Amino acid sequence: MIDIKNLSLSINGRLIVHDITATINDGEIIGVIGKTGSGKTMFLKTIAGQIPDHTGSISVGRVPQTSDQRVKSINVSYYSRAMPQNPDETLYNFLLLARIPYKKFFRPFTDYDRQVAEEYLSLLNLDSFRDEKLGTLPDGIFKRGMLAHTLIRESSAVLLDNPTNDLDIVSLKLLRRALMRYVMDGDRLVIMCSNDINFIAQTADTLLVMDNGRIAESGTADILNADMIKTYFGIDAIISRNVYNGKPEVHFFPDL
Amino acid sequence: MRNPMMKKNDIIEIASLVAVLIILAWINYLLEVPVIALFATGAGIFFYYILVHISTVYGNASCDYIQTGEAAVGSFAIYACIRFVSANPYLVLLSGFISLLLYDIYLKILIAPEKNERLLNGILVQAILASIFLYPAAGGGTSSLATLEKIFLGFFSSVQINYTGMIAPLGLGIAALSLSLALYPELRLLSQGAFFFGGSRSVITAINIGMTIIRSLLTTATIGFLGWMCGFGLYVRYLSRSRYPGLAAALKLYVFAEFAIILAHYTSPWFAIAFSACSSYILFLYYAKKRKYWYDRY
Repeated sequence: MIDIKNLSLSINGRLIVHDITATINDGEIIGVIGKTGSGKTMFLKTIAGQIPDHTGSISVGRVPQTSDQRVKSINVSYYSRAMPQNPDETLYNFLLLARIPYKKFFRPFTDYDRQVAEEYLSLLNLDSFRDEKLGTLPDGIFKRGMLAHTLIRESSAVLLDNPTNDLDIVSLKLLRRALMRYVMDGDRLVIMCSNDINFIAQTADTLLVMDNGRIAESGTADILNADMIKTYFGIDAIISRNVYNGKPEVHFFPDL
Repeated sequence: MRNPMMKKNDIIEIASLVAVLIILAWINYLLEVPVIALFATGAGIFFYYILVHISTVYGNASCDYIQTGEAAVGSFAIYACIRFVSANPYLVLLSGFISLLLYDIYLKILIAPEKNERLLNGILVQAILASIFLYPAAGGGTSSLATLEKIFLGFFSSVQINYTGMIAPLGLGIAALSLSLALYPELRLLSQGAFFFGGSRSVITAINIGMTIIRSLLTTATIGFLGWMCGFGLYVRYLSRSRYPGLAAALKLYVFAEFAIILAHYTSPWFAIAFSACSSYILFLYYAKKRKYWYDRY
């Protein structure tokens, strides 16, 4: 569970995140949407503990934010555009390294660590690339590998900053399946922000719409409608329903 | 699926390397190379192997100690110490260590070069140091040239330090190897960057300082015992297809070092040094050509 109280963040005098109070329960996938600059990424970064200069309180898994990095990593796993710097590491070894917060110094990885790494390799369809070096992986596979690295940590909360960038439809499907599986037991949660509104609508249990650093609206995917899109994104759109699950799908008018 | 023959091939490769090594060491013994010098070369290979091991685990290294300019800086410091201060082995080690530590700080903090710039920087440093000290060294007569020759061949291998003199650096090497093996996963994660390692800035700084000190000590010991006689361990290690790449690389380096000693005996020490340095650059270029990343991320 994540409990956020009166969270605000200013950078160079500009209010980026403004007085957010929210409780996010385990077992949920939360999707954060909003136009560029609305504060989505900063909101996630602040929860992840990447920006300490905020006001208000954040507690993850009933544990207040801590300076102990090991506890922090077990509590929260944050996915961003950060690039691993050593391209010579193989994908499997890189994924296994995500289990380091659980590993004791001078002790090898446990069988369970290897089992989790194998599980996510398989879940994200990466088996055939396991012995490939990071520097030689195709972009989509590399992205999937980075997502697997985030999930393998099995943190109480996974925060994904634009996970859908550069993913093809196969990868999007695999990611959706992996996220569903991640929260399935009800003891973990996922918060993701993305510019892909349709992916969020199809995947998230709850949507948070951010505007000027505030949570302007929240609710299930059904809050998505043409007026809402016009209000927060400033464009005209039409909403249809997905034939498989009935969730809303946003369509934009092509420029003529 | 792994090739079931791999294991057999690995055993054959390692056994062949050991056999060649014994033959070359025996030839050197017959050529009246002192046994202590052969051991000193072995110690040099040991330090160099640890340096290579640490470089592959921590730091994403692409240049070996000759290409980075560390060999030139270390040799210069050792020469200056012997010429102007003392030939005491511990003082020689200390001067090499301090100069390499400062050079590492210069490389990592002051200029932090990109991959390709690292090579250019190394060549520049070598050219500058050569122009500074080769001319006075040549002007200093045959004794200076003989000192230089010893340094390039591995000062401690040439001056025949005793076995007890090797114990302290060997102890250090064993400690560094044990530590790097024990913290292998942690160091590999750190090599992926602070974001992935996740530690606080102070922890990361402390580890980086510790690793810089260990690397400088190992480079000093490598230059002290091996000189310029093996500057391509990194590429041998990366290019190895063995299931035991570390062991195979160490044996190949030892074989090369023993061969270089024979070469020095039958031609001239300077020819062997030039041969070794050229081999280092050739392997570097070969590896740089082979090490291609298909996508534009690196």
